[in-house]
Amino acid sequence: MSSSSSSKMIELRSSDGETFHVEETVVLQSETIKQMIDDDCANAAIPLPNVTSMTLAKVIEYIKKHAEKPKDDDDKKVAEEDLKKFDAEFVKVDQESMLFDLVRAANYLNIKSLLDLTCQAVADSIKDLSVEEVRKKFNIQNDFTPEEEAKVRKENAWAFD
Amino acid sequence: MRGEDRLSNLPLSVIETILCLVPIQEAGRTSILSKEWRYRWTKIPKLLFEEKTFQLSTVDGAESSILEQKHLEPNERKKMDTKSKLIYVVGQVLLMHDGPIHEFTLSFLISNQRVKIDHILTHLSRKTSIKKLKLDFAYAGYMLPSSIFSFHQLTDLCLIGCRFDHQPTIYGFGSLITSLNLRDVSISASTLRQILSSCPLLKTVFMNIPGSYISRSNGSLTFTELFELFECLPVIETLYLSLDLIDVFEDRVEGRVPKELPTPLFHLKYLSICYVFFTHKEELILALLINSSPNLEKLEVGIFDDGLVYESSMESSSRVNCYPGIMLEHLNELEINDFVNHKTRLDFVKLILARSPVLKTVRIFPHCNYRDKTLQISEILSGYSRASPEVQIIVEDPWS
Repeated sequence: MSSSSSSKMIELRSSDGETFHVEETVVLQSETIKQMIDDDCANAAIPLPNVTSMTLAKVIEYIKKHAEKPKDDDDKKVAEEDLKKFDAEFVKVDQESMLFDLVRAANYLNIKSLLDLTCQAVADSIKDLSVEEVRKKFNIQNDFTPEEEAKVRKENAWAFD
Repeated sequence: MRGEDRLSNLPLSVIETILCLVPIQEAGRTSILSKEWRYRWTKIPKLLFEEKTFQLSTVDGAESSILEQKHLEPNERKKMDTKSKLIYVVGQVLLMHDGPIHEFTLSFLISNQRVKIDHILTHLSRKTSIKKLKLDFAYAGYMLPSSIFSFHQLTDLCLIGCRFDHQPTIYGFGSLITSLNLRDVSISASTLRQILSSCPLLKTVFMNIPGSYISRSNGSLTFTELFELFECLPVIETLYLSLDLIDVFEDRVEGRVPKELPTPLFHLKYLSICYVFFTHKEELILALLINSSPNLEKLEVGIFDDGLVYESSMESSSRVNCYPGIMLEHLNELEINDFVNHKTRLDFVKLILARSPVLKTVRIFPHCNYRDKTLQISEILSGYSRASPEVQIIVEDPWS
């Protein structure tokens, strides 16, 4: 990887041992890593035991895109539009498991905009589904007896009209 | 083998975030997913009740009716209209909710639910956790109960279509408010001042209060009262102001409008002014605000025009006297909506171009009746001399 700027590079290591080199300015979007750097814990590779290399690669793709600065005001609006498109495409992942891995990674790395984006994608995927469909989609085991379920249903009847 | 339950295994804080992002009824329906989910929705910190996204009937409605035949009593709620149902749901949710509420939004055009809203607000005002409160009743003119002044931890307050009918005594909002939005609110000039002066940290203020909504014995806000309001905003950064709130009948103002505010608005970066007719009076206010905002970066002017130009008896040459030593050292961007190629408007752009050394973009959106003049306006403006070498003037037809 060629580095055009003089920005310091930070090394990240995924749970499966792969290392990634990212510019410090880019990686600072992660509050968790920022804290580590501030505490002087980033001299060697930062281990990220909760993030796989596949997920980490996606996260880096995201923070790199979001670190791009438009050259002047005129580009700002174009850049905003471009970023919106990028975000919309970014959460269209082939496998749902990837979306959940990204939610977890964003939460762990504390990247607020990525967490908001991925949570919104999960929320959108739940929207307009019936309870039974949500259970099926996410393998949620219904451990209520029919009587118990009816009781809870009654307790929250306002939500079921 | 069943797959992993990815949703339930997410960290609790993340599940709460997701539940805040679905309509409240869907969040409530997660209570029957499994035992683990039963009370999860009751902890969400953000409650949003909006008529426009409110579901009168839900996908599970039909499904539940079969169960209801066995287990539930006949359902009265089914006969409710959307508005009554919405308020009923707010009550039910607050009854079940357990934990801090940081954000509360209620948005609908009320009809006869006023007393119930009073109760909801009284209940909410005792929750010290609320930081953001938005009440949007469109143009309904909901009379705010005095409990509105008991939300002491607010940082963001937005009131639309509400009325204040309180004598300004000890009233004020909490001193933590940084963002205040008052739209179509009926209020007296003195209450408005009382409120603003009780919020010393205001950074963002949006005031769109029709002049006729400001209750005074003799008309709307006077110039003096308006200046007093600005004095209450020492750290303001973003100001959106509708000039409609100023007394239109107050004429001979020349001697009484100062050139600058006693204390400049040092922090003001973004100023948006709408309902500008470019009468002499309004230009005096524009000039006063511009003169008093040494660090202004963006200026947006919304001209209020029906396409006809309101001629003023003033000679336009004397208008420039409104802005004698004006200099916009930091202005980056100027945007004017509903532009008409009349001299007063053109002169204003000319002045800004001449006095803004770092101006980068000028965006002009012609009024819909002047769409065919887009090119002509563009040509006139490009002939003006400019203090900034790199300014770009864009005249765009917003309807094309």
